[in-house]
Formats: sequence, C-alpha cells, structure tokens
Amino acid sequence: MAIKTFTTGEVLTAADTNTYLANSGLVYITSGALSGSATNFVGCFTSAYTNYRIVLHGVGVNNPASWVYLRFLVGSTPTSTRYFGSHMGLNSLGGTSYPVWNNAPQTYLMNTDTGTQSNGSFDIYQPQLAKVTGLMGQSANQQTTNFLQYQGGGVQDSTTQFDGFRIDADYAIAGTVTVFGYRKA
Amino acid sequence: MTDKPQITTHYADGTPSETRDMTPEEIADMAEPREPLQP
Repeated sequence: MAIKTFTTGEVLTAADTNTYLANSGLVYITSGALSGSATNFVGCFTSAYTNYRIVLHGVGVNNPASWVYLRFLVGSTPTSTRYFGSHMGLNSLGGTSYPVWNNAPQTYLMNTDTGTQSNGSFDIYQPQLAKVTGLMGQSANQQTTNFLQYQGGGVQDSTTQFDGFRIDADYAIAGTVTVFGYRKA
Repeated sequence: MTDKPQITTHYADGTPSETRDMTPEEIADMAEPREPLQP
C-alpha cells in the first residue's frame, strides 16, 4: 500500500499509520561517525533495497586539506580497482576544477580542510546486484580560502556484489555518515 | 593514543563499532595524499 488518499472524517488507524511510516521513500539503515584515516560501513547494502543514498555532514580534518574517497566493501575487504568517473567543480570565486579518475583504486567523493565543514550526498546504484555499481552526487566543500561545489560520479566497473563501503581520506577526518535505502515499492 | 593510522568499522546489524590500528597492508593500500582542489 504505497499510496492512499484519506477523506474527510475517515479514521486513521494504527495499521495505516504503521504502514505509511514503513513506506517512506527513504528508509534509514544506519549511521556512524567518521574516525581515523578510514571508516567502514559494513552490511548496509542488502537485498532489501536496490539503490541507496549516503549523506555526509560535518566532514573536516585536523590536518592539511584532504580529499575524501569511497571504496566498496565485500565484508570488510575493500575493492581497490576499476573506479571510473569525473566531477565538475566551481568555487565561490568562479574558478573551475574537473577531478577525474580512470581505472583508479577508489572514487573521489569530496574534499575538506583544517577546521572546516564539508557536506555532501551521493546515490549508490545496485551495489548488491551482479552488475556495475554506480555512484552520483554532489558536495559543498569548505576550504580555508575557497568554497567549492562539486557534482559528479562514476562507476565501479565489475559485477562484484558489495555489502558495504569505506570512506577514507589523506588524513584523519571527522564527520557523520548516514545511509538510507530507496524503498522499492 | 597511537600515531598509527586507524580504521573504524560500523556494523549495520547493530554489532558494536570497533576501532583498531590499520595493518601495514591497509596503510600501503591507502590513496596517496594529493594536493587540495583549488579551482
């Protein structure tokens, strides 16, 4: 029961309420703090959902500016091959940047700097299927002298079925990641 | 406190999170630090 139109005077039952709470478009799966040089999110991709959204907020480092990367996991083991993609970026002064990766060991997600806060959200497509896994999203990145906005994505080009992902960076980072699943029907 | 790079694992099934030092193999597998993006 994905959609129902209630009429004036109709009783909203507990069953209807519970059904619609469970039928939200995005369903919370898990969340966790980024810590150290790498953070694994294990077991968040299952057959319950095909596509996912991950939201990163308050991402910062206590060392020089850092890129933030993602790799997909099987168990706790990252896959470190065949990431392809590109981003397009614009800073608050009008400059542009186009980070790309071609058969790289990880995907670029976002970047951040000392004492700053960067935020972003990314959709991950069909990581549990034996098909190419896609990633697409955007981020707003604060650096000491720039404010950068990026949009882009790519693929992990294999038929590996992933059940999690790793966020890592050039240096120790902080922040929070929340994982949602897109309800199928 | 340790100066070694550390890795934290969060489990979606509710298993308590854990943090440990990264192995030499994991450290070697990390991305090389890059210059910050400055468009």
